[in-house]
Amino acid sequence: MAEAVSFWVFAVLALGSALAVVAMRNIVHAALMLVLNLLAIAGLYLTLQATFISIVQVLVYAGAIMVLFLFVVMLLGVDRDDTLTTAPRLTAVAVAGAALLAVALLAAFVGPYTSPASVCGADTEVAASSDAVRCIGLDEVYGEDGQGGVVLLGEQLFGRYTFPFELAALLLTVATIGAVILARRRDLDPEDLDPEDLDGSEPPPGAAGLGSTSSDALDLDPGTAAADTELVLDTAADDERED
Amino acid sequence: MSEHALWVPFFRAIVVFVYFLLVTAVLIWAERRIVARMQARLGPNRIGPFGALQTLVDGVKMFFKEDVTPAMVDRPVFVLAPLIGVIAGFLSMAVIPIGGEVTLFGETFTLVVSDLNVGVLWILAMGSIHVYSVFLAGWSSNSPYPLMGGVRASAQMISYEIAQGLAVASVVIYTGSLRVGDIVAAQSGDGLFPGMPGWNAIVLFPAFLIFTIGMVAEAGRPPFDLAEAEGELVGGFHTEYSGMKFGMFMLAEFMNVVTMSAIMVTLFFGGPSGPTFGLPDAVAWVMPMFWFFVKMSAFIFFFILLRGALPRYRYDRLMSLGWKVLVPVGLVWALVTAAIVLLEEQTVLTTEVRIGLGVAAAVLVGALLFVGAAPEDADAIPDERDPQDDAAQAPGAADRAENAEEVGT
Repeated sequence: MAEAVSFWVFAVLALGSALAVVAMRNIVHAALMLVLNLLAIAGLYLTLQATFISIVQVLVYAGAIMVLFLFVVMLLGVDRDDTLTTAPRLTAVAVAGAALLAVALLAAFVGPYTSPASVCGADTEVAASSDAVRCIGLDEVYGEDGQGGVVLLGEQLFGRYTFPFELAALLLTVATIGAVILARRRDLDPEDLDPEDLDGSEPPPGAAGLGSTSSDALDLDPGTAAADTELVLDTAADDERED
Repeated sequence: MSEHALWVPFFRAIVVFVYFLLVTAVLIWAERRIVARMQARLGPNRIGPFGALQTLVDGVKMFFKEDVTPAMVDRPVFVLAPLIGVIAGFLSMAVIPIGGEVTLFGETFTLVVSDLNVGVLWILAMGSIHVYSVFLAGWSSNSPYPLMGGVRASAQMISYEIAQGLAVASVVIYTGSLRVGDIVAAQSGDGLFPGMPGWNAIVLFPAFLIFTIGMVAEAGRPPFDLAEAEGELVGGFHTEYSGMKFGMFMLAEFMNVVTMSAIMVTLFFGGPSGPTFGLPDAVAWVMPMFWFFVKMSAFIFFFILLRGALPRYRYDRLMSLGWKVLVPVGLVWALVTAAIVLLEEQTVLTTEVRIGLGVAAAVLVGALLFVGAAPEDADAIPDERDPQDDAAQAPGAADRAENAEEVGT
């Protein structure tokens, strides 16, 4: 009973806020609706007795990722009068994509668990005798764990699913390196470089003295500096490919 | 939980709520008195004995003050922001046990709202929700100073959350449970030798240090109160707020001090556990509450002392302390803790070996701290040097240094 009530409350909340995310004209309001959506989904996890996942959802998505989203929105100084508009063609594509996703999810998840083959809520004898789709409470799966699925999840993540887990980690690392490279490329803007240095003129005596006392890495001729920096970036890119 | 009568959960919720609210009220008064004493002033001294009822009067005043909402604000978010702060502050108290077992009308229960099986994460999650309060207040005010305060606050809180999370992680690894009750129970016994308390603060000293620094930054208290730095940002994120909305920000901030102290006591100082001095059972149930209150008060006092004694940190130093010192040390320490726990599981360690390992780990972390601190001191000179100045002194030298940096990376 309580399960059904909380499911409907959180489901309606999740769907409503998800719609609001795309309908809101103000980007910060949309982001806040996304936070609400993530919290509602955390509530759905709680209904499923997955306490750990639920809290991690709040902690990671609502608490960290969305704050970063908003942080970027703020730093970019999006004006509150800047309303978000989308081209009609893009809207059509988005609707088509959403419909496709909905069909796929219905077919893959909802179908098996609502068809006659499903034994959810049926007698245990039926569940044991047939090879139908079984569904049992998560508490039963956890067994003696009593930690909201922490042990079970850890064993699965670092046992059976180690490879996907590491792949995901690699993906994040690659994304981070890519972001760093893109962010650092701004240093190479032509207007940032001193035009005199680009001409390859002689460095002033003071600078030369400074260079000769330093290591080889410091002893660069300003004329070749731009090329050298590019070289550094190239090697960084190579490193990324090797990863 | 279901074996209790229906009134028990309500009773626990109300007791914990009122308890923390009262402690917060006392804190506000105590802070004003103590800081005043440190500055050779009197502080509030008119209402009640030693001015103790000043907080109450201030609260009433806040309610009846005019609540000005500037015309250009984003109204729904502007109203929501202070509420989020207060609610997140109260919610994070839900998993903290403020006393031991209590028997009332034939029901025996612990004085905690809910001993959630992932309680430690709940605390962290509520801390991260609290960021929204400061952040949205800054944005919705539609004014430069609040925005800067909001951006500062969110960057600061996210950064120190990571360090704090790592400190908590080593506690969790050491205890082997995410349940706050288990963490308290694991610390209630003796430490390495009889008579020494088995507090995590001793066994996991580096984690304790990181958490201490992290909690000051998370609570946004001096010396890390850059979000509202009144000398630079007028009032930071709450510049545009007035009346009870401003009061709620104040309440949330002070409540954060209480919550952080309570969390610290729970995770690192054994929570309500302590000697009962062989008192009869009829009185002994008071002792855990007493110990918890004493330990928590000590940390609240520490917060107040910090505010009275230290000047505000510079923002770039704050960030580099968080990312370049606390996070790496926290990572290494979590690793060391895991290694020690693993060793203990595989072999039975003698006390001497444990002490040796602990000292070695402490030395390692200490060395890392110094190694990490040395280059930080080297670039203590502000980076924002005037390019024209540099060009006047030695044209090309600035570019040369930049290029060297590029190659170095």
